[in-house]
Amino acid sequence: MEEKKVTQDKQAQKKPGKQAVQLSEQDLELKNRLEQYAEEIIQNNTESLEKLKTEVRSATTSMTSVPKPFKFLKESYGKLVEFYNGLETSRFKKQLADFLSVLAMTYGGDRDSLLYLQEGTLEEFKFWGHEYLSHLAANIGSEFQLRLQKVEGADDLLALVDEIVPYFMDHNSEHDAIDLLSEVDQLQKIEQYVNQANIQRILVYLLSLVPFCSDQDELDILLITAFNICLKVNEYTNALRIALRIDKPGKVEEVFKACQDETIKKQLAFQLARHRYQVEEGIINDETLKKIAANQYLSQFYINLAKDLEVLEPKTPDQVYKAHLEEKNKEANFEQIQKNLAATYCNGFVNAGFKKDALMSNKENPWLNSVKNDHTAIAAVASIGLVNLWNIDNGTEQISEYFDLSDIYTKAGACIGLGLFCSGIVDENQPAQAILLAQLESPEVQVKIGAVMGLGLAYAGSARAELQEQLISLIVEADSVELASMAALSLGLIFVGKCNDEVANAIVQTMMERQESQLDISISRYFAVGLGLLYLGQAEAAEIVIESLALIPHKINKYAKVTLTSLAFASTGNVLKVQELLGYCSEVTSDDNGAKIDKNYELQQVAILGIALIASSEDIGSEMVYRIFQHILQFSDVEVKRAIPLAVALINISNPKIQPMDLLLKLAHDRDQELSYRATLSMGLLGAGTNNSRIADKLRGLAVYFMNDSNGLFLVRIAQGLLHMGKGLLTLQPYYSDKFLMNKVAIAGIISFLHGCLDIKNLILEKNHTLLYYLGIAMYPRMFFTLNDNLENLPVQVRVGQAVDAVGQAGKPKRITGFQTHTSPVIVSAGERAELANDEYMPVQDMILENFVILKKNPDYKPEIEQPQRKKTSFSM
Amino acid sequence: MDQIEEEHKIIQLEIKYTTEIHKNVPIDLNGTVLKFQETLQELLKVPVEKQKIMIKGSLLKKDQDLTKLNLKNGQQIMVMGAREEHLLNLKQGKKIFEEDLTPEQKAILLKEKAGIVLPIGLVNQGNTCYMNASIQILRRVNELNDYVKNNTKQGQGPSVKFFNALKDVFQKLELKGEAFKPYNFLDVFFQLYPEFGQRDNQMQLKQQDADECFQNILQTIQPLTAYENEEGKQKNLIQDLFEIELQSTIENQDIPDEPKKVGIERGRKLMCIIDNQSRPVSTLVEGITVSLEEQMQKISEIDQQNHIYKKTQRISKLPSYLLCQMVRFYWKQGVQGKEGVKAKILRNVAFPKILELYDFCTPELQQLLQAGRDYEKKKLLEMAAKETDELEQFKKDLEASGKMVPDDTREIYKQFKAKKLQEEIKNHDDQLYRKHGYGLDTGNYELIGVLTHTGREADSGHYMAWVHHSGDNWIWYDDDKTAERKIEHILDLRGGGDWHMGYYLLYRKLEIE
Repeated sequence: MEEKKVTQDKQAQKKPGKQAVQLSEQDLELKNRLEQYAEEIIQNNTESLEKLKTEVRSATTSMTSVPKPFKFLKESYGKLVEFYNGLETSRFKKQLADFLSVLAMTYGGDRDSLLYLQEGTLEEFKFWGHEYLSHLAANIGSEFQLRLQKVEGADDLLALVDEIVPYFMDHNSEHDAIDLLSEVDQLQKIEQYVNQANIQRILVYLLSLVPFCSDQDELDILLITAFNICLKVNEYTNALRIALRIDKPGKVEEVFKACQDETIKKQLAFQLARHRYQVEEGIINDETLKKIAANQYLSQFYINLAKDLEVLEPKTPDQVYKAHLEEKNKEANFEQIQKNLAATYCNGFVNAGFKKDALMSNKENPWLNSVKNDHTAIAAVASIGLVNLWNIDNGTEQISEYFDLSDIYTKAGACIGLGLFCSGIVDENQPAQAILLAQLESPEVQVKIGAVMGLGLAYAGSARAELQEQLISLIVEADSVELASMAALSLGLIFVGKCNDEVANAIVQTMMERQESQLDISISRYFAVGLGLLYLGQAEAAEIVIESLALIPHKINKYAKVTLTSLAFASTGNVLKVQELLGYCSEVTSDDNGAKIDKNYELQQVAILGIALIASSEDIGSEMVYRIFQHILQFSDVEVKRAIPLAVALINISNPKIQPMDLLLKLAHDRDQELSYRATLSMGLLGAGTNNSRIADKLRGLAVYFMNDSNGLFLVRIAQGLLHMGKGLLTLQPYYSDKFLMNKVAIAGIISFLHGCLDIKNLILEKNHTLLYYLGIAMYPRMFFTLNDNLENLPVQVRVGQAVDAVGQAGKPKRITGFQTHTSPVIVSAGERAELANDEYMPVQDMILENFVILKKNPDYKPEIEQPQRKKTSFSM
Repeated sequence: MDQIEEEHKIIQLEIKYTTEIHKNVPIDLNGTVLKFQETLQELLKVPVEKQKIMIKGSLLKKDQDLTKLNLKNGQQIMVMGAREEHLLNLKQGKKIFEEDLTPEQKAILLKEKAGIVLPIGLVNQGNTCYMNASIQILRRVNELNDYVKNNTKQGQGPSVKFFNALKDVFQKLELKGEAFKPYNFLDVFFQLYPEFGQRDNQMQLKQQDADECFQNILQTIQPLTAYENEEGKQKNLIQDLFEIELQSTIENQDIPDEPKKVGIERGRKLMCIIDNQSRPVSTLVEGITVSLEEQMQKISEIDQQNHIYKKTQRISKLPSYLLCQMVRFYWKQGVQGKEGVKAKILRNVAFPKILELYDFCTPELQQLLQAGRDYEKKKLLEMAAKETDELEQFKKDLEASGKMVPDDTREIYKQFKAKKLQEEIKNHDDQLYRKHGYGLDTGNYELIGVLTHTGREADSGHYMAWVHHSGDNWIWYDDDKTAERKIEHILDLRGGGDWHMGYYLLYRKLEIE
């Protein structure tokens, strides 16, 4: 906003010279009069100064041009300055300084306005209007920076600021006030000016500054300020939203303690559940609130949504593939292990959370007979977990018998399944812990791995201390690298972003002690991932651990370092870290003689994934990173390029924009097999849960393309399953609340899976396809439910449309465009926003309309005569 | 304290089992876990051994002291375990998976279940591509294929051995499921024809002529394919299938009065002469014409002088399968003391999908053919007339079946055409491979196999077989590699460059019913 003004000034400086040639009579008269006043001032005429001031002030200021008096005083300005410099100190001199300060806005140099002002009377500067004050604010900002560099005090400036800010606040210019305060590091002062009327505009502007913070301290101040002002005016929902972002102990509880309204508390509990935040004991005592915060309503409402949209019926994989639209030529109809495995996953993804599926629920003709007695059986049984997502009651009913079968694979699958449907739901009896800890005693490694994975899935983000000891001992002691690394991953998930030192030490220790041959196994990468997850989003907190990694003799230390760096700075948009990671990508590939140096391509791939992760939270950063990727695609070795599809999917997950879609489609046809496999899978991630017809069409094309490549076809099927995830009601997007909040569990799930994709051939296409289930904990319905105080669905008219950025704009701008009106509940896609269509109801407190929102009657509502449309406008499946 | 515990030794619990909740279930804290489980069995119908009782994150163990669990009145505990009636029915057994089958098992299953024969190649054993290609072409002759597969010859002669080896190869090609080396067949073949077993300085087998190989195979098995038909006549299968009868007329060009000499010649192939000095040949028909009309010098019986004679051959009996050989190889005399070489003509010679032999037939035969040709024309006209009716019927069927009827008539027509095309492919295959002798001949033949050669010389290069599969689909056999091709690719094998070019063509007679 300041920049705009500067350019205006520049234009102002240029224009007068040209226009002075043609002047109307009136103008000429005005010019002469002004110049005469100036002459008189130089003759020490005090009255003329007043007259001149009045003349300038009375000039009608318009937005588009410089006021005429300013233009005409160009020649006099120099004279006046000269005269001023010759004056003795006096009241007259001070008054003249005031006026010069105003003129300096047009003709003066950098910070001249401020200079003259401070030499002036300081009495009446506020009367010169908004434009002048904005200019002054800019001057103050740059002066303040200068003083900081010179280490000088700036109390005089702060005193000025204290005068200017209230003016801005009173004149609907909150953003200028915030800009000024943040320039002089006094943001917390905004608190005293906040009231019910301006909180919305202030808050929106403050929060939109978040991505531009240069360091953690600045961010902390910004967030704490925003948090405090919300609490000051009792905006609890917003306060909680910020508290979740601040992510420091006690903040969330502070909101709960402050809030006395029961209905708002329910709303707060819904927010906690969405974030999978577990409050301290004793904060929430009410049973209903506990139930909400424990996420126990999620399944029920999700099913309601499906009923409302008439998509509850189980869908078969064949319905998803739409294979009849593919050109095919194979008449052979064999049961194929891989084909059935793909169907298993596709069925799991498509019917996720609906309690009933097309394959496993069929008791007469058990699907288990259609899968082999190996890892594919694990996947089949575990898919029950996806189908019963968030529903412990149904899940236990369907899965319990598989624990009784003697087969180790079904048992392992049951463990994973149990973990999946318990994930994110708190139940006092903790069935996942009770059963899975018992299964850990099993002599079979495979069952143990299943139990460990199940625990990680079930308690992701819960920081459940009871599990720590047993899992740590597995990391260090287990002979099987797969078991140990999965234990590391599970602990990483459980303590995601909690900086748990004991776990970190154990993981680093095992990486130091284990034999080289063990760490060479592909799955050992999950030591690094688990370690990284512990520090997810904790920025500098990871530094000590990163340093300790250097002690690890095996080359996995670099993998761990890059993973840890990227996860610690995930979604911060930290440019320095992006550059650091880019450094890995640009390492020389051949020596001076052109011979190829054997380099660690895997490291570069992780770095690329890390760049995407750091930049993923915010749109401009994502765009820039996307451009970087284009460069890598053009100039890098194919081994490096292989990471690009995954990175593109990561920054656009569940957000099927045309550009990345076309890029991925192109890469899916690449000659390099690994690259094309990853691109295929990435297309599924790109459109996950959207039912996007364009991607569906492209994937059918790919199915034909991979007709004779069963691995490729397998991945196409999985991508198709992902695309139709939850029949189009789910999303994998870990960012929500206008991309302000990051669901750590979701991002951890996605990252866990993507690291597996860095070696598709040895992991996903071999025995470790169960890594796909980590996407399960990233799933969330992309729904908007309106509820009444009794937590019943309250159907109202809702507009859903393309979100428009309206931050800092005057008045009440439209925040969506191209909208359609539906009756709630509705589903909201990436880049879309919901609004209530009329004023009959309003949210209990101002908040972003997504997930669950409790509504109340609007006391000021006057019903319109026109009957609103009751019909759904459209819904595409 | 003791007293209080005594008083509260029976407390009421809330039991949660799946979606059911049972309130006020009594538990005797002084009793055993087993006793409590029996209560639960009665209540929930879950057998004791399958019960998993979960209390605050841990499983209840058999020997646990209930008093130490700190249970409170009204506390909820969770039970998991399957009821008998819900047990999974896993008796039907595992299915058979394609990945677990050996190629052989898979091929057998495919043939039994769906009647599909996978295209299997033969591994090259050192320049034996000429033989691999010949076998693949020969296999397309259904009648021969069936005969060889279903008959075993008794005896010790080399040709009997050869027949049985061929049978083995044919069977394996159908059921083996993967490419293999026809060792035995090769052995016997070399015994019979030692010139094929020649090796060069590096002990490598030499490249051979596919035509010779093909004809040798037919030659060898011909004596073994004699059979008695329904009327009790002695017939020979190879003769039935391949024998072509030509009526040759030799006339003296100088003395028109000299009586023409008419004779009958029999062969198993037509030649397509490419190396024609006077008239360039660019199609198969032109080449055959040249080969059937020959100028030669001969001493006349009348004046014992050398005269120019014209020999014209006309077909008097059409074979079931017509073999055409492009005469691409010839002996190039060495110049200036150099050794001669077997050279190759790369010339572009197009061959049609449907070959009309009507013009090459004797007038008598042409008369017979004319009947078939007239009938075919009539039938085609009828078909065209019927199409409108069929379209109407198709629309009705579509509506009757309750499927969505497209509004656009063009869309309907498209669907109709697609359905029709499928029918046509099936009809076409039926028509093409129908047993001969039941319909009218038209003199038309359809291409079903092409044997190609690539390379500049006869003694080197590579042979491959391209064999008709179904409709417009062909299968390309490059030794052990096989792939699908379309008819367009096949008709492109006409030569003129370094790409594979047709050398040996197999046509099947079309009859009209």
